[in-house]
Amino acid sequence: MESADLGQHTSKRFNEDMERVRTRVLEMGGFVEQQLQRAVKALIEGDSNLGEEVARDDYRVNQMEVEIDEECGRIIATRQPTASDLRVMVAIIKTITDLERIGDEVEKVGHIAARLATMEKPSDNYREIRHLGRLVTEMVHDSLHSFARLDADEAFEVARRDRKVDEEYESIQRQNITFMMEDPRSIRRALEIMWVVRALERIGDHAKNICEYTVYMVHGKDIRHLSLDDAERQIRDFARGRKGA
Amino acid sequence: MSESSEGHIFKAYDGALSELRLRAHAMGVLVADQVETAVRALLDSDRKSAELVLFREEQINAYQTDIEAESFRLLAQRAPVASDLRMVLAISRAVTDLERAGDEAKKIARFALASAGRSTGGPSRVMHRPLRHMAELASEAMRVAVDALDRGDARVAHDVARLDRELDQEFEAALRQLMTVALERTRLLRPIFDTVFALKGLERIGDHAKNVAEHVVFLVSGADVRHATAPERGMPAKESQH
Repeated sequence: MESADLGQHTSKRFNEDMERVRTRVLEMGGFVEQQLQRAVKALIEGDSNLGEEVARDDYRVNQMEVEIDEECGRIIATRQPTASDLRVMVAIIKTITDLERIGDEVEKVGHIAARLATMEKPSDNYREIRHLGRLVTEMVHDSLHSFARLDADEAFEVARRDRKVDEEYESIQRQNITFMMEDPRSIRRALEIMWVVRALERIGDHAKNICEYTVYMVHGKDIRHLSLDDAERQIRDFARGRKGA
Repeated sequence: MSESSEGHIFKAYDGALSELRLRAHAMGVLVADQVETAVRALLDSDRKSAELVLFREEQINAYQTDIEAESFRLLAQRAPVASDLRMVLAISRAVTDLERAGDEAKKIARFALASAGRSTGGPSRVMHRPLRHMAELASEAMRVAVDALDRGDARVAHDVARLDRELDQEFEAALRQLMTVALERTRLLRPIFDTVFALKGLERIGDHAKNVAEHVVFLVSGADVRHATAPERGMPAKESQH
């Protein structure tokens, strides 16, 4: 479980390859983030053209994933990376899978935004969704930031925000059901909103996954199926043990 | 002498690869069973079955961690080329989909537990048939896909895609039906919406099975077909775009 020392690679060419791939991942992440912002905007402003445009542009996210994935496979096959270098490649491959899934969720939001544009707006003017959208967009942005800077502490902090997203999700769904009971004619709209809220909640999960890969990259520890508290404690104990030895 | 030791290395390597495949297959079979057990728990308000699903979810996570660790160890130590590299990549990708499918089954089991203790009960009677039918389709799709992974047989990809389409259609039909029920009986909105999510989970499991089948196509032919339908998916609102 040695820490990743990205400055000292056995192969200079591997180093260059990896930097190039990391840059492309960040480009992909930047585009996904922009897509997410546009989808939420389309929803709130009732802009059906923008919604469709966002959905259509998802093919670019898919393209980027396939290209980066192939590049990673090529690097692994030709450079035969060492264990810790391989860990970085693995984290990258996993990160782009989650970015691609965020893209899929955003695509759904785009389609739904276009459909909702033709319906009457809810009385709260999507206040709750606006809030949830902001939380989730920040999570995606900050998860990529921690990935770029290999900052495991920031990754932990961002991953923890997923709980807040889950709480918001639950509360909006409950409220949504109350609205429907009061006004059954709003059921069609409420159902569409339910899918949007669910997509946003899933995006939070994916951002959390990206944070976990960053921790894996830095500390070499797979924390996906641990609670965040346990994961942080184990990593701290390990670091202390090493210092003492 | 060098010949025999090389042969030995090859054998050990083949052994490690088939061991990997075997474990991925076992994980997939378990996931398919999780789907059926979770839905049965929901329909029969059977707490024991629901708890079994939650217990076995831990096993599925352990499978994922082990198989991935082993895949990456193989990648690092043996630097496999061409077809072997594809095998390792296909298996580790398939495992991601299997874990997510397992996650959907877990959510259905949680719903089963919650509704077993609720006065309004579980899903309304009209939903039993679509739930049962979609559970059959989803676990069938999963079984066919993981068998194909085990045998390296890409020909069944079409069968899995067909099952996935059937699941999509069933979901749309059930959703329309549920909306009618919801309009008439607003008191039951909460269980109705939980049922929608359970059906949606089954529909997602079909997607994951389809992904697994696509990883098998990649494994056999080297062609990445994951986004082959991307332009179609960009088409204006289809009803299935939830």
